[in-house]
Amino acid sequence: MVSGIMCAGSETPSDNMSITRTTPKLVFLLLLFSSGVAMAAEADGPLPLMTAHWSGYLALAAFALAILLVSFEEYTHLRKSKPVIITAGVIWGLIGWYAVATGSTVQAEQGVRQSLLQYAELMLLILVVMTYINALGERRVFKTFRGWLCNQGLSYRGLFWSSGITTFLLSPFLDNLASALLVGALILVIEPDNRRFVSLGCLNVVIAANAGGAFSPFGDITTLMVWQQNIQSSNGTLDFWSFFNLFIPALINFLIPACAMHLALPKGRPDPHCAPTRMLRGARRIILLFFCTIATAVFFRGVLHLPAVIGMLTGLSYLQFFGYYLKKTHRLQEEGIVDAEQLASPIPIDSRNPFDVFVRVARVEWDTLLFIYGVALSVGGLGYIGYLAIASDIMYSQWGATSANIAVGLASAVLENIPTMYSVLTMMPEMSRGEWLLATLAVGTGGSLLAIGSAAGVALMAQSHGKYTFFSHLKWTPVILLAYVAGILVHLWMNARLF
Amino acid sequence: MTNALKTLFFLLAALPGAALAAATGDNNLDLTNHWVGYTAIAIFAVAYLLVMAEEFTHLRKSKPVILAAGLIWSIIAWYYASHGFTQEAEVAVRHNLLEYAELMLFLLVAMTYINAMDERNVFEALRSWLVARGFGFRQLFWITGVLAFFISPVADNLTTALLMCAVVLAVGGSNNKFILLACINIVVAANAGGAFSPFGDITTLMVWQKGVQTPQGAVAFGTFFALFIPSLINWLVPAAIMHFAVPDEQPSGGGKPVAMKRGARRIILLFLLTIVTAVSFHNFLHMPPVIGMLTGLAYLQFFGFFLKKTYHRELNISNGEAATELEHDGQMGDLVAFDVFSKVARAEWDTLLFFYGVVLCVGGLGFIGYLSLTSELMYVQLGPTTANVIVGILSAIVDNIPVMFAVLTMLPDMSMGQWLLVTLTAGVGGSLLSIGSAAGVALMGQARGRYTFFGHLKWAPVIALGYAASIYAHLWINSAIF
Repeated sequence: MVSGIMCAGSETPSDNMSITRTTPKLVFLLLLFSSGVAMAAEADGPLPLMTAHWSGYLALAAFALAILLVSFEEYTHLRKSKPVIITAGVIWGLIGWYAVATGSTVQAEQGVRQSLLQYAELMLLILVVMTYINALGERRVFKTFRGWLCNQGLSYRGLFWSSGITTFLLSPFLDNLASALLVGALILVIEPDNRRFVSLGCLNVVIAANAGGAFSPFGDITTLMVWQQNIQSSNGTLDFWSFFNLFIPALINFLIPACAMHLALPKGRPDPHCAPTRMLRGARRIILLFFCTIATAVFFRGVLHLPAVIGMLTGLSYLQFFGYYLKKTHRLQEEGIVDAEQLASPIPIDSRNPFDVFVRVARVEWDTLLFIYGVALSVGGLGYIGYLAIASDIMYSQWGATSANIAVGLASAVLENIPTMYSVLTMMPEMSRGEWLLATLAVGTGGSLLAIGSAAGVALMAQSHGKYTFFSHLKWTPVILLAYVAGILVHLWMNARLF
Repeated sequence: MTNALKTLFFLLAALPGAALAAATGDNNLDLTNHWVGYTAIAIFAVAYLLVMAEEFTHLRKSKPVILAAGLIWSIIAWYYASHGFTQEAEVAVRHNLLEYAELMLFLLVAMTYINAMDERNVFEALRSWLVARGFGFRQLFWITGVLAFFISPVADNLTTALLMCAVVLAVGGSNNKFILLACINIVVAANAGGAFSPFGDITTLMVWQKGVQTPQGAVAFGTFFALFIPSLINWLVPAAIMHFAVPDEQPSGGGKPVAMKRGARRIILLFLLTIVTAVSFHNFLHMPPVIGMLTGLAYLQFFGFFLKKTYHRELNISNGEAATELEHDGQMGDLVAFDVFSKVARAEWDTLLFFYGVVLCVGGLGFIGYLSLTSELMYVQLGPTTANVIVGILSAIVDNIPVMFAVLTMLPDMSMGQWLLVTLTAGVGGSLLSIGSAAGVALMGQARGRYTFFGHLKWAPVIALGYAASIYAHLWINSAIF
């Protein structure tokens, strides 16, 4: 819809300078403002193009304010979903108003429906994954595993590596937030008072979770978003399996900092006491069903050409029927919830115990789901207005795709990675498969650079009660940056055929 | 019995299929006389059989339909893909998914508000007030009915019915006759009250969201209120007759008075504001109402944040309680705050997922081409008035969501009065049987063993009288818009 992108002007209007410029992001926004004004001249009709109209600026300002509030979640304790939801309403309200004024209500409605549809598919997908994680938790799969690892009598170094590797392997199947919380709980249980071990262990888990999520469509919300879009790149479709090309780069991203931290670990052997637990009936079958569900989703996408989410929801019914079977064959002396049918309910199962880790996971996830709604609609709105086309032009055409993707990864350390990825997907630059994978890798692992860069880091900071902090993470940032660069170089070299 | 009717209906629908084969969509393959179509219908019929048998098997109704949706669409997509069409099925399924998503998010927000109000003791306060006033059973019968009729246009009818049922169970004690009659009354009142307001009922909401164009203008928010008198009659006729069967006694027991918690009134206000936002988004900005609803959710979230931050202003309770309260305030506007109201939450998730399955199943059958056949049969050969009356009766047997969804997918060319008629019949027709509406199904679970399928069936003739009376009232009062 924006035709005159190429004439990004140089003069900067003074009335838009009043906005505080604290981050590079805002400088970037100002660039956008200035380019918008230059285009005002060639708009036809009574109103200028929305990119150069005050309603467009207001939409941008609202979005910038929301992102600021999200970044300060740590201090304000205002959940990050709240500002973005209202921003989404404001942005689309402005678009609606502008559309009424210019008589383009039909296009605006289509635009919002498009954003809503993208969100809905993602939301239902995450909902099904969440339900399975809840069900596995209720059947004590994670607790059993934790107890088993805890009682192996490992040294600090052994625990460090086993927890890291576990997270790296778990995160491709669960999302990275859940896997970080589940394994992070192990570290906190074993030695809650050993500051050094907790801090390094948590850091390791965060890096492993982010790296492990980057190469699997189910591992990370951003990767899921890329897969879900079924992108037609310049050299073939970005399908389910192409993400596994990122395995080695992701592994390197995890291994480099882990090796460095290995040297800083305390020596010796903790003496933990964990009560061993046993999995409840049906746990293994639920794991199996989870894999069947993923297979169904891949089959729907790849063979039937239907959206993957339909396959996922079909997979939810496997769990539902299995829950019904468990309920019907329930024996009285069995533990666990009596009404096993509730296994397939996307809410936490044991609401009487609010300190259960799954209730917490679920609460964070719901917050994330609503956050994604706000982001999807806000970014979609900015895209509809035309700002993203301008940004895409600056980044992807003038800098080149590779530099742009690396920059996007670095930005995701400061900004939330979901809006970052969403913006890239809404711009939809014309790139090769290798570049798309690079963007996925960069956004996924770039979040490890700072503690606030990923959902996993934020969650563990809250859980470790001041032992794993922003600054304890920051000390290791140079090493993580090294790994980030190494991961990207390996990807560029190994997957050169995809570029 | 119900299944036989259903099968008959589809057999009838399939008969003129051959004649119409040429008339279906341009890009779509016509599969109505193909084994793909028959298999899809068979899967749908089996799923529906399981849904109706929920009372006996205790298999939640969402399960079979979700699986059926997956199966039906995978057969369609497989057939299309093997004939070289890879885009059509995906586009069609996305269309259905979007339609589902809008309604789902809308309901989620409404439910979150209801949960927040419940957490603030709004409904508990109402209940304790009712009990403390010392009303007799007959008065309570009317009070709960009137409340259900007037709350359900604002809240959705499922939630209204559950809340009123909680009141009835609390005051009814062991008087099973009163509980049965009051529950039937609530179901009828909630369905009738929902029919004339877009916020009252999922089916009415669907008609409103669709924004149907008729020769008399678009079916807009305000037009539904023409159904007020017919809806009222639909509820008053059975209620007046049941009145004489309600025992003329005083309930025993009392209960201590409950006060609403801080912020309760403001939350009610915010809920009204949210509804205003949704309506404004639709009417003035031409945006889907759901965007306004979610913006309204943010009001509640910010208010919860405010409650949490200003909590120190009233610390005249113990420390432990304070911690719980603080926790609750923080969760205000959280979808997880569902577990405060866990019973409803589970019923609602079941309903939400059921809705998903139904939308996709019916969408799949429509994509195959069956809905245009049914449309042809009912709306062209029988005429719109008869067809709409039949739609209402069907909605008592089949769930009213798929019925309405089918009508909206057909989109027959009708006058405003006919669209309102079908809204009325699909909304109140569900009252004829207890499994006909979500409210009835939910109450069968809540008042298990006291409000039952057969208990409701005994009063079906009286409800049918109300159904007929309301249709005549609509045809007579609103004859101007036909």
